[in-house]
Amino acid sequence: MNQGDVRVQIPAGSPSAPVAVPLVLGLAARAGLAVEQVDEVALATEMLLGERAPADLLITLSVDGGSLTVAIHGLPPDRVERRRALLPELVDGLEVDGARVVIRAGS
Amino acid sequence: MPEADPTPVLATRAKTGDEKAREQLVLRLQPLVAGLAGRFAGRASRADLEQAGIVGVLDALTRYDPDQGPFEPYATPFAVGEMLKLARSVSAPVRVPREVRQAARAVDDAVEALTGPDGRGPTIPQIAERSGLDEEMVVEAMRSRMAMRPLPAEDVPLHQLGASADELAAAETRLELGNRLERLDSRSRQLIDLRFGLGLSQREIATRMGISQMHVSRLLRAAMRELEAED
Repeated sequence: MNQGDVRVQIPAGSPSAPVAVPLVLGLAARAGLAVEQVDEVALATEMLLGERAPADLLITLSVDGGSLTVAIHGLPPDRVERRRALLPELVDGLEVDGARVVIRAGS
Repeated sequence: MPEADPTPVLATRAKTGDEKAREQLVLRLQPLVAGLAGRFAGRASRADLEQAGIVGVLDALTRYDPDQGPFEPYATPFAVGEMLKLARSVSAPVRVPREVRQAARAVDDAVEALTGPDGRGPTIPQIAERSGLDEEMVVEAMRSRMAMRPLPAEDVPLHQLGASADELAAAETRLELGNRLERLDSRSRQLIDLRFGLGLSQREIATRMGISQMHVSRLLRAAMRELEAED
């Protein structure tokens, strides 16, 4: 974890997207993303998290130069799988490794 | 000889406190209200929409003057107004403060003004500078926009979207969403096809539909929520 990263733990059943999306927007502003990129990385985050956390989640958000990375640990694999066809259109990078999903917006 | 329209007489009697006339009038206008509620299908429950329509009809009754002509055409805008109010209240589940609503409009205007010919939109600091808002308020305005659900726009004919029905069908096949798309209305389905199946950007879709990118964003978000509703 780098200095300036934001880390959030969300227990299962607690509000998730309503907590994470404002952080995504704020950090996307810091990364200097264009408005459409900001909108779509927020949408991708919403799709993955849902209104309430489907399991205990750990989310790490980091800005590196002109990009924002959102790493989500703890998502049920079938939840990610169902969204896998759509996510690559919304973000510039997508990595899925077991229960860990990483999305990236910007270059 | 055609039967004379009884609604002006019923309305006049109802205005004077005749409960029976009032009930008859509401009953008589029920099909009209039900038809109007169909315009807002999917935006609130049918029963709530019809109830709102009746509230509008009764409001119209208090202002109606038989010299203005038949009651039905007079009452229609009142009924529609109440349904619209209901649909809007459902569309924005979170109450948004006036200053944030104004900021959201300023953000929309700034995005439209600053989007370059290449379709690249502005950054949040650029929007802040153009609109005179601070960055925090721009973010708050964007967040509030995301929480709102748009009212349905007019359906856009397929040819105006620049994609044939065959292309959209092929796009759907590529998406491999199975029958999940079937739960969407045709416009939402087309939006998903265009954005995810054909890979058009929000800006490109906006240009084809003749609406703003921010509007496409809201429509797309609503479509995605609908798509995921039962997940």
